[in-house]
Amino acid sequence: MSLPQPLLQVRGLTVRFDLESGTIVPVNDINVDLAEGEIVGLVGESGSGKSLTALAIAQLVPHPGFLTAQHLRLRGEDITTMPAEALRYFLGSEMAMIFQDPMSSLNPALKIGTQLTEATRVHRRVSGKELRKMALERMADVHISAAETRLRQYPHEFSGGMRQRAMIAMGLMNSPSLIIADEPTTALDVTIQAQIIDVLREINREQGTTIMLISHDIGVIIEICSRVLVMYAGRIVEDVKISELMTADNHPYTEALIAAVPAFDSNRDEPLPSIPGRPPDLDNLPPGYAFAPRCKYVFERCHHETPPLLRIDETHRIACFLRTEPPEGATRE
Amino acid sequence: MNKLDVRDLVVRYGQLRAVDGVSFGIPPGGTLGLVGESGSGKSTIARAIVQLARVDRGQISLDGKDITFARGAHLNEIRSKIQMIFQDPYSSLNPRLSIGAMIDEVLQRHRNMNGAQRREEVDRLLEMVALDPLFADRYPHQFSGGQRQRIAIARTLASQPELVILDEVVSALDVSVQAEVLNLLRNLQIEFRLSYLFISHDLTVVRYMSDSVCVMYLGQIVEWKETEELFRQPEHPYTQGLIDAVPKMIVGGDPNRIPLSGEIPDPHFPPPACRFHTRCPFGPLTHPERNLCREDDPHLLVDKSEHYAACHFPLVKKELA
Ligand SMILES: Nc1ncnc2c1ncn2[C@@H]1O[C@H](COP(=O)(O)OP(=O)(O)O)[C@@H](O)[C@H]1O
Ligand SMILES: Nc1ncnc2c1ncn2[C@@H]1O[C@H](COP(=O)(O)OP(=O)(O)O)[C@@H](O)[C@H]1O
Ligand code: SF4
Ligand SMILES: [Mg+2]
Ligand SMILES: [Mg+2]
Repeated sequence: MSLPQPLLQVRGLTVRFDLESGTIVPVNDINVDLAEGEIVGLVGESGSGKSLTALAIAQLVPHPGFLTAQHLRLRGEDITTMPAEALRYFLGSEMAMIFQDPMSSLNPALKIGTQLTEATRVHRRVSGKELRKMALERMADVHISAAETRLRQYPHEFSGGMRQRAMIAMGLMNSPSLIIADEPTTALDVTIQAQIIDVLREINREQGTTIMLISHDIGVIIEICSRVLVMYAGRIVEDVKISELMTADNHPYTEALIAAVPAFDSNRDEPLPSIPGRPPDLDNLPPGYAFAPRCKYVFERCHHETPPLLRIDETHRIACFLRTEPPEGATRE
Repeated sequence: MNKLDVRDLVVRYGQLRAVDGVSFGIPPGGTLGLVGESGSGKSTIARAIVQLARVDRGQISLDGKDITFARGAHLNEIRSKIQMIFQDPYSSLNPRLSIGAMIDEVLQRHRNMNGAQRREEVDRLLEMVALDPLFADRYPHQFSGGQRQRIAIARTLASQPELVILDEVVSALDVSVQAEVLNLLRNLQIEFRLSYLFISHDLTVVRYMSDSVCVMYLGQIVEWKETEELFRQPEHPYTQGLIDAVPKMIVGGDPNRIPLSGEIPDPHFPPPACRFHTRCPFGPLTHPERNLCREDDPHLLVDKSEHYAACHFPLVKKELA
């Protein structure tokens, strides 16, 4: 059986910062494939390295961060070795990034329509009339009504939800094959979040766009993704199909993340399960597995060694000795 | 008798009626949840109770006594009995004071204690929120978000309050830390018989914390119910819409959810009659014969002294019919 080539293939992706206090590695040896048309979630507590992973994939690691990788292939092309100009063009047409705060990416002094069409003009030779038509179509994709009027408005005339829609529309102008959305709904009300999730789902279904959705909210990820990557202290600790979440033996961290969300049918008289302790400081990592001090199933070996992310079946990778090399007599009770 | 009663409260910012005729009560030791999209007026209610926003009309009572316009000594007494904690404790914690000094300041103002007693009390309060008393000499920036929220809680407890207003206190925290802070708040409530006004835009958190819940839309409470009942059988279409919008941990999303379209209209020009009729999936948008929604204000028809839903076509009754 020959698998189709993945849209994105990440091997050994690592980001280092040389700080006065020493070197930190907020993104540590990430290996992952994204298949064409997938919606993959990336979840973890704040500081776990989600945003930096996204920025690294887009070759946007902030100074003085330092990216290394075996390779980073998008559509089979290794973007770590591409010349700057070619890279800009390639990423501009293949990848779109959407951030939590659309105002950081929108120019407050330019009309929305101008920003939409300029996003394209840089990359393609298209007539003005055709550009306008495209902009209107993209506005329809994200369900902005009265698009003619909206295109003539400035970002400050848009609500938070509308700006996020406009950002997505802008990202769609070049029909990218990959959208990376970093906490796109975190600043929005749940009602608007639900609408934006529907928009992303529709784009994926109708245009086949691959989406990497980053969120600290595992509920959002379960809602829309087919697969989730769970990050802890710079590493992926689990890679699992959403339909296997809560049924398969998950990573103890994943299990704890899910349990800590107060569910609608939870017993209100019981205390909420929490995860004791907090994520480690990257400049002061514990010896052994970074998650060990917070794991309720921890055993001796975890304090000395970091378990590698190993495949335990076709759709499940996990970095937990209990699952990959269970010690004699160990149980998860 | 209720710990707090709010009757027909109106708060305006210029022409904007940010809170428009709101009534509710909180029994002693109980928690009332206040939920709704941002801009619905939740924080303004909180600010009005502690006199940080000017009350235009209505009445606020503590233990049955009118405190709406309390002044002088009476106001000071109320200030110790009613405390407020915000989303970002950093902005309300003085960065130049060690956390011990900060708590000591409150003890000096509200409690009759000498220096030695106060030092002991600071230690006790820090222990109560699961912080090491050795931290008393440290400054706010040396703590994580969750720890700062604990510090804010310890400082609040220092004045021995009876009612604590919690405005989005866990909204900026990671879920694991959020769970710890919520557990702490519930334990403290039982220990000190505190009454809570728990404000959040997050329905799951409000459900977990509250005995009864008020749902707000454009400055008004559209539904007020006992918590379990509200989530099991919401009557107001807006409540149903909010509940449906919350991710349910169901793979692929809840197929039965009825999405709310559109956004909150400009609060300077709220829609007439039922303010929700421009977005309601059960109103004139989908049922053209339901003109009533555009013509009569359902708020005028309900008795707000008990649980209610301000809707001409409440969902439960509709199902039964
Ligand atoms: N510009 C930077 N300089 C130094 N450290 C950074 C920088 N950006 C991020 N980091 C560190 O990298 C870690 C991961 O950050 P980030 O990717 O933003 O996490 P997340 O998105 O999961 O919250 C954090 O602990 C942060 O301290
Ligand atoms: N200081 C203020 N001046 C003018 N308008 C305000 C002020 N504070 C809040 N508002 C407006 O009042 C309404 C209610 O706001 P708020 O009480 O903060 O809502 P919530 O806490 O539910 O998000 C909003 O339309 C908001 O823009
Ligand atoms: S009164 Fe009409 S428009 Fe308003 S919530 Fe009820 S059904 Fe919807
Ligand atoms: Mg981030
Ligand atoms: Mg508020």
